[in-house]
Formats: sequence, structure tokens, C-alpha cells
Amino acid sequence: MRSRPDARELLEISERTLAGEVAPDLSNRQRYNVALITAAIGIARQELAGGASAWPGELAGLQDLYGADGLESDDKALHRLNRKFAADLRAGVYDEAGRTRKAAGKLLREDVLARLAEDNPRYEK
Amino acid sequence: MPLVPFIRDAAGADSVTVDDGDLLTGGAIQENRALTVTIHGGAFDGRHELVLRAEATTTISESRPLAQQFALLKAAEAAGVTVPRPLWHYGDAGVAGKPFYLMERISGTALGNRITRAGAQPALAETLANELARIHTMRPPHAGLEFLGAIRETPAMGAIATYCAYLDEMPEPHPVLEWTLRWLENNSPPMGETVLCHRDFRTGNYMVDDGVLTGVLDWEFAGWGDPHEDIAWFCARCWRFAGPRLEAGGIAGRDIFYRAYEKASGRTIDPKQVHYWEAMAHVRWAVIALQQAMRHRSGDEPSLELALIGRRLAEIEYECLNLTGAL
Repeated sequence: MRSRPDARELLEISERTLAGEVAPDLSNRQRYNVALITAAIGIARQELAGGASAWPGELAGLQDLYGADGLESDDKALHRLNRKFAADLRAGVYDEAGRTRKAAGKLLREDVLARLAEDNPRYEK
Repeated sequence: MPLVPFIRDAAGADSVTVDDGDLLTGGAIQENRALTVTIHGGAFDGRHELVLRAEATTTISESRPLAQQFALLKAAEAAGVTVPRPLWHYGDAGVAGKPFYLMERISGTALGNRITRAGAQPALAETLANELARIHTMRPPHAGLEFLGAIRETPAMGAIATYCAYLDEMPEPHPVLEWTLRWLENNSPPMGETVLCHRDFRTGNYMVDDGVLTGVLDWEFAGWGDPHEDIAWFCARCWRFAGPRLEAGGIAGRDIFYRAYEKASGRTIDPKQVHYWEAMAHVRWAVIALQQAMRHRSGDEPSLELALIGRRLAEIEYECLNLTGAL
């Protein structure tokens, strides 16, 4: 087992030190750079726990639409199924109102909300 | 050619001295450098605060070449739009091996967060509406803007095809953007009026000094299009910075901006068309954000700023779903 603090905790304290103690003494330009760095650390901290997906239901949702292939890794399946999903959306496969359009809309919505919670949790909806 | 002899020849001067200043901020796509130029003799005799604009190391594909930007700035100046006065363009490999042009430096700030933190500024919004109406007085054919070409399809269908092609170049699929593009295709408006669209007319791209507009910047995306496109870009949620509730650029209510534009242009704004073009605006911003992030990811231009733009995608896609009724 790893020693503590873990990577998330280390990033958190780095972020806090940069913003709270380093930034106030810097020029405007350097303060801007610190703001960028703390934003990047914040995102990295949020996503350290997971793989390619930002939320637990994504792969299952795609497999509901397209079926599962037990031999692939989850990340590989996510990429392949998302590519198919994107191509089908463009081709108009989900144009018609009904159960599959509803399922597609739900997938898109949940994915965006999960990514938004990681990337910009303070975004005013 | 070095800078000093170029300015001396262009200005018809006896001698010229140049103080090289700071790299100005806001140059995510282009490099802007502040210069103080002292000219002796000729029509430009005196001290001039200028900006040298050069092509950045890598550009995004929508961006027009420098010579065309200069021509657009000239056309805008002639149409009475408030712009930094364009002076001279040098087309060959000039300063640091890149083409460049020089324009007068205008005072104030363009920083979207700073401008919108000042709260509601209805007078500024009205001024900007008047400026946009003036930009939209330029229509094809227009002397000096022949390079803009002719419109072959409706501006909306043209944009959809362009963005689909950009998405095809990306290494990852983007289902939300495909959903939105499909919605845009299924709801695309018929051909409307054709005017010069600035295509980046928004808070962050105009300079304000003490609450007063000093110039409209960044003409690199301009082209023939539907006037609703510019209105939607200005009002889109993604360009309101610290004022998300002030729908006209984070500086005023939409009604104030619309009324002033309608009065100045004689056009009637169709809110449904603005809504349509706002969905398009978010797809466009998403594609630009993906390209900017790619500049970092490809190793061409490692930059924290460009990297973080890639992580704006979720909020842009949120607005896409919102505008297409999928939330």
C-alpha cells in the first residue's frame, strides 16, 4: 500500500499553496500563469481516480445501444462505441422520436454533466 | 527585410527608430507586439505607439492569412467602423521570418473578465450594436475584398460541412457535437441576406477605455454570411465571461443590444434565427477549442493555456445540449 498523503492530496495542497501563498507576491502576468496551473491541477485531481470515462454508466449505456464485446478492455470499448455513436448521430440514425433517441439523449446529457462536474464545477448553469 | 528600413520606406521618412516593447496578451492565435516608433520626416513625422501583428507559429485552419486581415481592417476603416488604424503590411518573411503588419495601438483593455466585472453597461452595448450594423453595411461584391469569394451554399450548410470536416480530423469522436450538427442540419434556415460577418465580434475582442469603445479587433475570421450569425456570436453564453446573466456579451440585456442594432441597421432581428446561430456558435467554439488543444497535444506548441482550452469542451457542449433541447 502506498504511503500517504496520496497523489490527490499532494495535488490539493500544491494547488492551495500556489493560489494562497505564491500568487499574491507575483506580477499580474505570473499570477495569470499561477491561475492556469491551479486550474490544471484541479482538473487532474478530479480525474485521477478514473479511466477514460468521467462517469460509471457510460460504457453500459453505449452497450445498451450497441451490445457488448467481452474481449475488449473497457477503455478500448469506450472509444470504439463512442465512434460508432458519433457516426450514427451524424447519419441521422437517432433522428426519429422514440426509445432509442431518448436513450441517446440521456447518454449525451449524463456524459456532459459528469465532465462539467470535473472540469468546471463552478459553471453557472 | 529588417523592420526599420521597411517602416522608413513605407512612411517615406528620413530616419526611424524602433523601441521593441512587450508581447501583448490575447495572442492565442496571432502574435501581437507593442512597438514605439519614432519617425523623422515625411507624412508620419512624430512618435507612434504601434502594434506589430505577426502570424503565430501554428495557426488554426479558420484563420485568414495576414494580408487578408489587413485588407479587412482597411475595408472596415473605410466603412466607418471603429478599428485600430491599419498602416503598413509586409508580405514576405519579415520580422523573425514571418509576414507582419503594423497598426496604431489603441488604449484600454480587451480582457473579457475585466470588462464584464464592471456590470451592466448599456451605453457600451448600444455603441457595439451600432458598430456591428456598420460592419454589416459591407456587402458583396466589395472592392478590396474579392478574396472572400462567393457563397455557393447557404452559410449554415457551409458551416456545418466545415465543422464536420474538422471533427473528422480529430483523433477522438465527439457525440455531443455530432448531435448538435445534426440538429443544425435538420433545422437549417433558407438563404437570407448576405453581409460581411466579422465572425469574432464578442466581448474579449474589442477594446474599452474607461467604459468607452476604442476599437473592434481580430478580423481574421471575417467573411460573407448571415447577419444573425454575428448577433448570436456576441450574445452566446460562452462569451459572457463574468456576466452570464447579461445576455448581450455579459454587458447588457439582449433587448438593449437588439433594439440599437435594429435602429441602426433597419433590419428586424429574428430571435429564432439568433437561437439557431447560437447553437452553431457553440459548435464553432468547440471546434476552435479542440484545435487549440491539438496545438498543445501535437507537441507543436506546448502551452498550459492551450491545454486548458481543451477542458472547456464540457461547458461548451452543455450549452449545445441546452440549445438543442436535449437537457
